[in-house]
Amino acid sequence: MGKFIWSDWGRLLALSAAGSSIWAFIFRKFFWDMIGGTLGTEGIIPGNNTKALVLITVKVPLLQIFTLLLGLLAATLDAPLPWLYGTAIHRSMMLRVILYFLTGFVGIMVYQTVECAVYFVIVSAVYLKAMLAGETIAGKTAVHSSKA
Amino acid sequence: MSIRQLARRELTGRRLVWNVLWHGLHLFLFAFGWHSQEANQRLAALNGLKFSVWISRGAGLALAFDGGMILVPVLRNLIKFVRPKLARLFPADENIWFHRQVAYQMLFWTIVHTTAHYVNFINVERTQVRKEAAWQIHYTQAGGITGHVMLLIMLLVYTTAHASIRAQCFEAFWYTHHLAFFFMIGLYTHATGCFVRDSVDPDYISTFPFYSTDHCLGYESWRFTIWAGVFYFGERVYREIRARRQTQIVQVLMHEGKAMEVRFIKPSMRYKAGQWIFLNCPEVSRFQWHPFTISSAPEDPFISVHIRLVGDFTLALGAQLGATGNIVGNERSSIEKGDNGRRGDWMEVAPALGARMPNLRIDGPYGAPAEDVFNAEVAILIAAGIGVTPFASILKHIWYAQRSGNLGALRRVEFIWTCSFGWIQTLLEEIEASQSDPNFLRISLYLTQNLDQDAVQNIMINDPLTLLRSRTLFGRPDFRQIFTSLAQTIESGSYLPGREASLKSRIGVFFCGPNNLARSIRTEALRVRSRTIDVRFAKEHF
Repeated sequence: MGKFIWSDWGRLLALSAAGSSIWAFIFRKFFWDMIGGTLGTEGIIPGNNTKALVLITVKVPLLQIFTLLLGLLAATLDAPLPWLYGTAIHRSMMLRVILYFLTGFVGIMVYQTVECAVYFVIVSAVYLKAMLAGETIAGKTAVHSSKA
Repeated sequence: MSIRQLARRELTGRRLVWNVLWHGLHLFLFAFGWHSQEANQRLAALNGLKFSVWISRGAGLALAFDGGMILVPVLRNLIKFVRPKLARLFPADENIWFHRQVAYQMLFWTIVHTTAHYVNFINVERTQVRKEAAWQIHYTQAGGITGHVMLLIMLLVYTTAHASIRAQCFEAFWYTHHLAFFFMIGLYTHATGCFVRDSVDPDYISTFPFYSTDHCLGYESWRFTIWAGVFYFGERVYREIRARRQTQIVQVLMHEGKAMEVRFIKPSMRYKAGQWIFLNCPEVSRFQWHPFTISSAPEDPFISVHIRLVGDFTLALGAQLGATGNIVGNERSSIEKGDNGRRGDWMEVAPALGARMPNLRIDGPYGAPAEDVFNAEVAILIAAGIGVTPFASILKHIWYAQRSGNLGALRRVEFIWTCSFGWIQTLLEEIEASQSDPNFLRISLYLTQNLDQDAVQNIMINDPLTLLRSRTLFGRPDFRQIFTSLAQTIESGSYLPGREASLKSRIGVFFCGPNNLARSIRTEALRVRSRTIDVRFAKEHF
């Protein structure tokens, strides 16, 4: 019966998900390598169909770096940096929906960030719900300064 | 709070003892789990994974303990049962605090355990110690599936339990917390995949528990931890049944300050002064249970609760009971002066014509520290605002006890109430009028409402507000002053005449109100402890 504010919950979820993104730096393993891959004596040998993606997770840990940066970005957005507080970027719900979905899309490619990716997709959905419910994010300082 | 203050709070006195024991126990379990894995010759193949498997097993043991403990503090009926016997050993009323401590440990060890398993599984794949891939362990075996499900549930449950969410929408927290049902199922079945084994393949059997303990060498911790779950489930079922026992609303009264008094009869319920109940009204909401303190005394022919009509649940409940529109009105002055009581400050309400009284479900009663009031010689009852409700019950109860001469150790009562409204004054008036010993009960009312000079003058002269002989004071009470002067009068012997100077006088301080006030009152109360004065502090929880 109390008024549930989706974006408040989304913020807590986003911070948790951002926290879980730090695991990205540990391993270089493409999660979906079993598709077309074979189980050899030293683990799965990826098939030819996933070569490109294996390249950007194993050879160059590009996706992991992306996840880390996106996680960091999520943290700066939702535990807002002082100079971001109340700006259009900080208050944009649409940005979050897209950004967090994208983070989920990148994260799910890597073995150890599947968990994190699922969280980010949930966060994205929660913010979408918040947006549809007509909620707005207004920094407290922004409100004060507009009054002053 | 600065880090320094935090460190000082956590590292002194009772907190220090608690922290050492609590963290020490978890570290011990971690170390023991680690050792038992590393030293087990039968698990030599698994030990090839080295640190990650030792860490995951150590954290797993700590988690098994926490998984068993997480439900213990919410076994409300069990706590109520053991409270009087063990109240001195552990703070039974801090159960939710303990529940949170377990949850924090659980989160920490979950992070450790899961991280270690991510390492384990990838190394199983890379070394092929077992002929399987990491993703298969993660997403096709019992341990992995239940683990990931539990993680997701934790994400949802922990975030909705955050103070900010609980405050804005308690239901979101309460309903999400019931995912704990699936969490516990996940916990009890987490090891059924037989990951910890000395055989090449899992040794499944056709009879319960469907894996053989000859080769599956987990902790078997579910055999212990499941009991908390069984008891909790049983308790919830029992609570549902008990709540449905015959309950009938007999009277609904509107008092000043938007306080609605609901009087009901529930023959199957026995309670003590100061206890509280969960109240549910299916006509308002089927699944919402709200806690209220019982304001009647056990000796009364009815059970009553005072409900302030301020939230949406309480307003909806009021509407069901006929307290609508103007009747609820503003603070004070909304009640038409009538024949209702000497003070004319309440009126009876009823549902609209033809509508019957709604059903009421009562879950409880549950314990509260104020039962201990008769163990103290001097009871100091301090209430802030609506926190007065348990003391309404206790004061009435003391009044009945006084009439029948069963006061126990109790010699004097100080009642201090900071408030800006007042339905309880009728009750205080009755009790005050019945006092034969002028020294037994002293009432001090502190009015914090903003009053102008004229109003203050008016109250000073004829005190129409309280009609009490007792003092009405303005502003906030100075608790340091109150406790210090009390201690001085006790030590000088003028407060409790005939008191043996060699014996310790027991003072019980009972408080109901906001937490930050509780802390400062506790500090002030415990300051006056001395060779001859023993002070205990108890806080009522909402």
